[in-house]
Amino acid sequence: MPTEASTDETRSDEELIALLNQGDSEAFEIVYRRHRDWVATVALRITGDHALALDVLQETFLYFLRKFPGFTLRCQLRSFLYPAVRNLAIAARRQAARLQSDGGTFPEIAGSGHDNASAPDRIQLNRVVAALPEGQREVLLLRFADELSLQEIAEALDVPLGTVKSRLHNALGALREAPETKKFFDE
Amino acid sequence: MNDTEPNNEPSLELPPALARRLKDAYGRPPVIPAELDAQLQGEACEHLRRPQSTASKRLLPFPRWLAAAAALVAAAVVTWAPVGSGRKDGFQQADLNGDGQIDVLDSYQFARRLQHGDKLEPSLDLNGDGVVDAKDLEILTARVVQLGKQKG
Repeated sequence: MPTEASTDETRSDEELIALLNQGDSEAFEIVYRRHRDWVATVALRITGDHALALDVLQETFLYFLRKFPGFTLRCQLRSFLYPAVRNLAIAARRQAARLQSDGGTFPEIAGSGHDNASAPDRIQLNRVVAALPEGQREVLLLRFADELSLQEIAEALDVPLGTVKSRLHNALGALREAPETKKFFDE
Repeated sequence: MNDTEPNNEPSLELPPALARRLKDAYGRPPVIPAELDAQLQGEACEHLRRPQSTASKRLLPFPRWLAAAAALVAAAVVTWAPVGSGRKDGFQQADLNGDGQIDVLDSYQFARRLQHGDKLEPSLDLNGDGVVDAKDLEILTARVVQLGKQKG
């Protein structure tokens, strides 16, 4: 799909959306390539399943595409996309769980499983992250796994900036206290 | 990203080694097949090539068959509903963010309100069991996902 000659990576999302409103499919290609991996990452984290994550990726960009023409972006694009990704991923996970004959459940949150840390380290980290309240975990991962700014997170979750800061503060406090992650703060 | 923004406070940062661990564990994308890229690009070309008026028609929240079905249901309600029955189709009341479309954002809004214990309109009792709860959210979500697929 990508063709280096046809893309202009320097354009902002806002500029690309203006082009998309004019029917420019190359602008879609750039937007897609810019945010594709992040959408797939969030989807995988929520569904815990590679195939479901790809379904969610597809549905998310079809949803985005259907906004055109006439779409106005009122926040950062990732903040706009996040509720759609999250909701589609939760729906996909529930639907798949219903179809599973053994009634098994998906993990509440899933790591990518191909990081460089050793397996015990990863399990320890997963344990600490999984133990966080959902709101804190969500903010923590949006901030440090996805590298969204606090303002972007506030817009994505539709909560005040102060709430994001408070949740993040509490999450960091929990990591600071947890035996598995305490050592990082002592270094 | 945006580390220079004033709202990203040093006290809310992680030790770099731990931040890297989190990024490694939770921030890496799955492998995305080239076919999926190509398929989406094809969808984009097709959708964006349409004249705007045609595209706008396709962007209506309900497909044509559903509009026809809704008209039939409305006719049936007018004909057979008991006098004084003012119940509306909850799904049609589900444009919670008021953007004129019923989609995943409304579903998300529904979930947030449920989570926060906000009062929800009785018309959102989609399964008719007398309470507005997570079961109604599931129905709404299934409907918007289904509609999304049909429109796609």
